[in-house]
Amino acid sequence: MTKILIIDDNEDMLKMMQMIIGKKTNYRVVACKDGSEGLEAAFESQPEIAIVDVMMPGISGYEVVQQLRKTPRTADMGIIILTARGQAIDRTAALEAGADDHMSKPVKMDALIERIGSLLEEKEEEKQRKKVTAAAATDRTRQKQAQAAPKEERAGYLTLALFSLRGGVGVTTLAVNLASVLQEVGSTLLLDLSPNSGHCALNLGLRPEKHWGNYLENPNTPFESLLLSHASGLRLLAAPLVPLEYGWFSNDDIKKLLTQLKPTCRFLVLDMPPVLNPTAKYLLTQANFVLLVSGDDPSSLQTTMMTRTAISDCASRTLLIRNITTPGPHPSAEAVKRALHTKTLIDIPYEKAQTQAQRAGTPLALSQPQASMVAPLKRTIQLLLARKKKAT
Amino acid sequence: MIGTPQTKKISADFFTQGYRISGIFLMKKRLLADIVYDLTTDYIELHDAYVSPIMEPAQISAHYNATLIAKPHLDFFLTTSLKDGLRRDQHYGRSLQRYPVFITVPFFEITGEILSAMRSFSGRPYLAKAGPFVTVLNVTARSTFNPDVVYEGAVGQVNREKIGCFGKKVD
Repeated sequence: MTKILIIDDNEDMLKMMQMIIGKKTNYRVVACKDGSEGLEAAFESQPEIAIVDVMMPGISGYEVVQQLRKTPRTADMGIIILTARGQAIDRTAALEAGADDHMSKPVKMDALIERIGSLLEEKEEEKQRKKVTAAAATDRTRQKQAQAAPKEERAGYLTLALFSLRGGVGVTTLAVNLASVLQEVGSTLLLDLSPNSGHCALNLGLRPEKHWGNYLENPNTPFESLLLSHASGLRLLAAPLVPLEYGWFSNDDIKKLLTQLKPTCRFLVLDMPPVLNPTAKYLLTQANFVLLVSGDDPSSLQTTMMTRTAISDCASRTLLIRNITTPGPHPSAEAVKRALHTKTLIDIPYEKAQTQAQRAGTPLALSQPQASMVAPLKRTIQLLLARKKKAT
Repeated sequence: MIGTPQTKKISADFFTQGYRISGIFLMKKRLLADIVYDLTTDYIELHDAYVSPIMEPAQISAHYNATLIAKPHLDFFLTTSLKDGLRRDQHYGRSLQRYPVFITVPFFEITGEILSAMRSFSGRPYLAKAGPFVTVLNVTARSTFNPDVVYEGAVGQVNREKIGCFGKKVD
């Protein structure tokens, strides 16, 4: 059961919070009337969240927060400062002391309960993120250990196709960032399959001097010779920047491409073009998972619905990702679920820094691992790897 | 709560002689502003008070559970709630106009709005009129020596004796 610690010298306030939170939620509430008692309780019961008053006799709330952050077993807990000192300077002081949030008294209990809920979610995400990072580090060690193992055991482990028939929903951005995160887990190859103008290379700050168009010009060219390498270790088969007179791949070309490139990497990420011709359909059948990317505006949701019907033969391997590419209000996850008749695997929040990252040619997953879109991407990978493991 | 004779705790920030005192005022029969305007007493009694120097406004340098604020030396005080900062008679008078003002007191410059029944607002009566404090609404008090430090309140009661400059926009 989730434990909430409340530290407040105002006994009426303490009793009221204990009673209302206890009544309206399933949390177990521990109440303490001063800082030293609160610290003792925190170290002993290690609650998930602490609500701390600032103005208390003896140890002030700021000192309590600093002590909690200094102690390893309470360092990661969620802390809300709840005080009658509600000025902007007090908020800054609370955050500087190490609190996650500052709320001023008098507070509406519903608002406090809502904030506790969202902080619990944030902390859970943070925990997952740490797990993924730790798992990635372990995987890197395993990867090194696996160098001696036969190549075919690791090669072509997972192929992901990111796809949308509606342009502008961020398929390429997600593909580049997902591949960048996957590279931390194992050798990854990103295929930019755009027939018109591919942007993966530019997003990675690479010059597409060689691309798959060279193969179409000369079908004897081995695909491996056309790969570009990023400093992170991620490799890319770039698309030409302009449409070519040679057209696009045939099914046979795709077979050849996969036969040549799959054994060279553990993870293959396909940045699919927004078309559904026979070759694109064939590519989707070759992926372990089809990540159908959708926006949440009505036309995007409608396209996603229609696409799901069109690729119904991949239904069991198709997973939905909602990618929010604009700021402002958006429909709730529940509303999107109702519209699509299915739950999304993950929702990627709007990330303001994305435009800048694209301009700079540095994927956010590498340049700003704390960016809001990175944690959901890591979670996506975790979920996909778990599903793949289960399937095998 | 207005007009009900029961105890209510009101938090307010009091500024006096270079200190910020965050205190709890126990409101029984009389509102905080009524006590402040009462000419028969020289002090305001606070139940709990936390003292910070205004140059380090988030640092609590002292705590006392019974504190008296000397009214003649109080520069101003702020409350976050409108009803907690007004006098009983100020809760009425919906026809009053609001006029923007700029006021200086020791260590602070204060901007906000003042209530007036007059069509053409002149600041003079506010400085000359009897009554120890001037009521300002939607207050922003900026520290003179540390302009990044700003305090805000729904109501501010500013000690008339401490006002150095009273600025208003000419109609």
